[in-house]
Amino acid sequence: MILDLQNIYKDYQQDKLVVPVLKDVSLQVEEGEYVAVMGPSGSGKTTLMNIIGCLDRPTSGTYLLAGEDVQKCRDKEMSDLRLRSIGFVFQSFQLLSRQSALENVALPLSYAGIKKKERRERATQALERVGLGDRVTFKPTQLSGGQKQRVAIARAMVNNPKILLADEPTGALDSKSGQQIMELFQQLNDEGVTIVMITHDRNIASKAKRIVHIIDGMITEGENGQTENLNDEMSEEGDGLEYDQGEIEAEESIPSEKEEEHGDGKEAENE
Amino acid sequence: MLENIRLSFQGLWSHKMRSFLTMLGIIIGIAAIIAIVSTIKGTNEQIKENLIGSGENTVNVRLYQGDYTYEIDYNGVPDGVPVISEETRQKMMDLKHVEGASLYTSRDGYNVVYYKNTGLSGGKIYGIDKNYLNVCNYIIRKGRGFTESDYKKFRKVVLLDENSSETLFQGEEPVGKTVEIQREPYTVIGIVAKSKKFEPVINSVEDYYTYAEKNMGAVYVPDTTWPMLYGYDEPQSLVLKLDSVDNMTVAGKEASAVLNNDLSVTDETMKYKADDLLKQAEDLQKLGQSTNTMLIWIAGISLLVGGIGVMNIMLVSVTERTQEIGLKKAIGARKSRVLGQFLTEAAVLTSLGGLVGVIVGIILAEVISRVTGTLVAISVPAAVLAVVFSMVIGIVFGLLPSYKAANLDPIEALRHE
Ligand SMILES: Nc1ncnc2c1ncn2[C@@H]1O[C@H](COP(=O)(O)OP(=O)(O)OP(=O)(O)O)[C@@H](O)[C@H]1O
Ligand SMILES: [Mg+2]
Repeated sequence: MILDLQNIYKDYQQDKLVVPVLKDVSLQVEEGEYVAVMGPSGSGKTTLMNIIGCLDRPTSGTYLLAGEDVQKCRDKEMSDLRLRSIGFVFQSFQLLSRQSALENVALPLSYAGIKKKERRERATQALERVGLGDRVTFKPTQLSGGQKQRVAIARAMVNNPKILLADEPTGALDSKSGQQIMELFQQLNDEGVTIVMITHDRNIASKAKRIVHIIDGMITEGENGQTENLNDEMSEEGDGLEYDQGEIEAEESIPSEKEEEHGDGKEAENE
Repeated sequence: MLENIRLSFQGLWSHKMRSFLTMLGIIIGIAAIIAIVSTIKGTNEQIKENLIGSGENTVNVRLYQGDYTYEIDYNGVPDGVPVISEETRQKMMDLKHVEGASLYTSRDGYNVVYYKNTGLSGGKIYGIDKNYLNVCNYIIRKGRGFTESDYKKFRKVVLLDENSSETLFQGEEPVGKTVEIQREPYTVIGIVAKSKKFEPVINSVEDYYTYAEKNMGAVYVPDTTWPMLYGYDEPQSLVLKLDSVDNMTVAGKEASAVLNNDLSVTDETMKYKADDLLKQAEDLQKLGQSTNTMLIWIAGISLLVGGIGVMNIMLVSVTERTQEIGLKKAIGARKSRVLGQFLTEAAVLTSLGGLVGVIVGIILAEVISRVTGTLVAISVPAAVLAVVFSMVIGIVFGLLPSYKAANLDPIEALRHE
């Protein structure tokens, strides 16, 4: 078991009000699994991913990452877990705009204390793996949305983490670019990388071997954590779980630069 | 670390104008300090040189009446002031810091020394003992110096300095010629000169007179022949050669005390006193320094303001780069790493400012020197210290912004647009 969350609660303090966001979430993920997390906006998906990604701590509950109790980790150890065990992919790419693709990908290597020459080599390899071997010197502003997300994936994978966490990785992309990203994910999963991916998009979610639903901070997957079949899910949940918003977004095909802004705007709206 | 420095330069370069304006406070402060320090150092050296003579550690002990030196020319030989004996001179030699001691008498040279019909228009005539030339760092330019037998046999021989030789002989060869001193024929045996050429900078009327008098020439005869010229053995002045300029005051006081012991004068104000040149120099320096301390304070405040400017801009920069910092932390950068990056950036910014400041300061000092004609001495340690100090300013004032950056919550930061 690579991820083991037991009875996780997460509250946010809003003025004097305590807002519960995650309520008794338990989730187990085996090494090599490919899990999609679906749920309506505001249901707590990103909050859950922040906890899984060691960016945030639960209010209560236990979380073991590859057997290590994250609750007991100090700030420095959390940083090191994020550096070595987890790769992040965000909806809005989060690339450093002034740095080239290569420099962006090499960033985590420098935090891992790797020498400059090896950093170049490994970052170049990582970019080649996502099909951007000919774009290493490009700045993010010179890349399309799909290319930017592939740079982000290269960056996430450059330290060879066991887990890839993606928060709406196709949310700001047209369906064709999204498709390419999904192919990359599939490829990584085939190589043994555990993937947890948040998405609004049914089609995207269907690429995963297992789908977990969060509604109002609670997980509604079968307690045994079995792999769900998309068709089963549709017939079971019916219209109650239509996440149209994401699908519309994914099907839009405006130029990448605008898409990014659009996507970001939407995220801001949701908050 | 090197990586951080490179990134800092990249960052600063990408905001050229802003970086420059931020550095301006530091540049002005450091430039002011360097210019002031250079001028102080230059002025100090100049004052010392003017008053003391370059590298010459000699001090004169002369008879004073009240605040002025006693003039035998006008007042006659004083009562109760004995001729200083060789034993007394030896006692001087035994004093601490004293390397040499010599006795001499002197009178005005005007209307006293002639070659054919040319006379000295001023200057001085000295009756010197055999130590004098050595103690006062004279070297023989031409001919020879006085010998033991010149003194013993009361030979009427004379040494000229370059000024008097020029005035009297006007290019003619002086050695071997005869001049008249108080109507007595004296043979010129040599030309003397100071071993070090000293060109004082004239800042005041007194400076001018001192220098002008020396410029009019000096004539030296063996002190044993002095009574032939003026009729008596006269009380002499004393000149001491010391191991260092800094001991002038102390040794001068001790020597005067020894001489004053032998006085039996009725006039209480008649006393031997050392020319306290060092003290005069120090007084002048202090006067200059109090104004300079004020200027240094002003420069210090400018640095403080510069430092606050750096802090302010760094805070803006942290806010501006919240997202970048959040991302870096999210993908595994430790707090210390972020802290290091921002501290390096602040330190690089201010060190660069300091470096530019030093260059501007040196240029400024040179300009001051050209305009006011004062000496300027660039101090290398001060320049190095200035750059190091700017770096420290950067680190101190960069601490708060860097700490803020390091402690950003990556979740909040990533959401920040
Ligand atoms: N720092 C915070 N302070 C207070 N409330 C917060 C904070 N962060 C998140 N929340 C609340 O937690 C809830 C869940 O947020 P979260 O970002 O996890 O939703 P999500 O499922 O990712 O939504 P979306 O699909 O729109 O991204 C929301 O109601 C949000 O308002
Ligand atoms: Mg979200």
